[in-house]
Amino acid sequence: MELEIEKTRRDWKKVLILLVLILIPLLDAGILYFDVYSDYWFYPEDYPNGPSHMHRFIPTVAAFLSGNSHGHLMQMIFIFLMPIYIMIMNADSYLQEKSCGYLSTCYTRISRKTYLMNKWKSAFSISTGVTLVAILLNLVVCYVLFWGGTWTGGGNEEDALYIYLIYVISFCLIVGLYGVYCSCLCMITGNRMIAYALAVLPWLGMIHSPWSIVNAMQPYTEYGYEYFIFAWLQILILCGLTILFTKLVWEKRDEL
Amino acid sequence: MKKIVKVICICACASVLMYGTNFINAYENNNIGFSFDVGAWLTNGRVQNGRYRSTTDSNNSWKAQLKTSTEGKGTITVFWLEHKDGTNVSYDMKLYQGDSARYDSVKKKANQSTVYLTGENNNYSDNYYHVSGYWDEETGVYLNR
Repeated sequence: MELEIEKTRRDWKKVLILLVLILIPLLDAGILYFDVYSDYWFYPEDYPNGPSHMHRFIPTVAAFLSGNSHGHLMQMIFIFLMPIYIMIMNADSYLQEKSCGYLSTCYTRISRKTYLMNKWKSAFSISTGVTLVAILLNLVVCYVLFWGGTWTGGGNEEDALYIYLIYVISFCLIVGLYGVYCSCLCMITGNRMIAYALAVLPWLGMIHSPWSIVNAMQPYTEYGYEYFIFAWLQILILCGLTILFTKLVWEKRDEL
Repeated sequence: MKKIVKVICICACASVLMYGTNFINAYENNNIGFSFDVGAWLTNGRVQNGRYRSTTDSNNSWKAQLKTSTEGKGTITVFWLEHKDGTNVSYDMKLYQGDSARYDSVKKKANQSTVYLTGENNNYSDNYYHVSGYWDEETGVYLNR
């Protein structure tokens, strides 16, 4: 596990993806802050009661997962492309090790079972950890920028931090599980192009489905808890079946 | 001479009437229908024809009411006003399908310009649907800011 984290840390491509993932939510907060305050900065005379009467969002409503910035551009770049980020960060490490011959050396020292568990643990931890840091950092920044805000944008959101945190945990767990799924894909297919295609296409399909998985990521929407549950069911079925197949079939296959 | 004076008086009356009518319409709470598609993949929906907001007071609110949405009953769409080039000139307003009209103030740039009602889905799930309802670029209803 420590080796996987060290390998991620030393690869510039992985560090770049890490930085991009942390930067996107921060950029979203900045864009929203500018959108809210720019009219006051340029035309203060139009606000005789000062900035306290402006449409300042409740901090959790301004936060990244709530998706209140225009066009949801940052959310689309972050969430829609998540499989690619997951693969580059860690999930495709099996393919890298296979191509450079490290895999053969590995199998002489540890069992396939141990190798598999290490891959899954690192894929889950790194995917979940990076996403959690990015989202929580954005939340902290939103609390600083929008402290005392009361504007909901017309929605019926409460200033309920616990609701937002439930969706943060849900989102990070989904990303972590999908990281394990992507790791399994690399082992099952053994081919980079096919693995990437099978990582991206189902993810986009689940986003686009009537029971979209974003219902388990975006708080304060009009969709009830049944949509949250169905979103999770899709993820569990896809990831669960793939993990099971990898454990029962791939692990027992003689690769050498 | 009398004829000329008569013509001038008629023209003056007509001008007052026209100005007066415009003045009433601008500060009247009208229900102007809108109907457009809310697109997927960052595509916003927008009314084809903008309306001129003649007031100079940002507190003279605009309004919108979402009557129908093929996304579903009680669903949310986000509306705002913008210029033809896409510059946002009001704050976003979340409207629930079937709810009563909501009113909001505008940003300074909206005044004395042509504004377009624009909408997008509040969810980032890439849905595509149709909305219709009523709006007015200036209602004569003043909000305190």
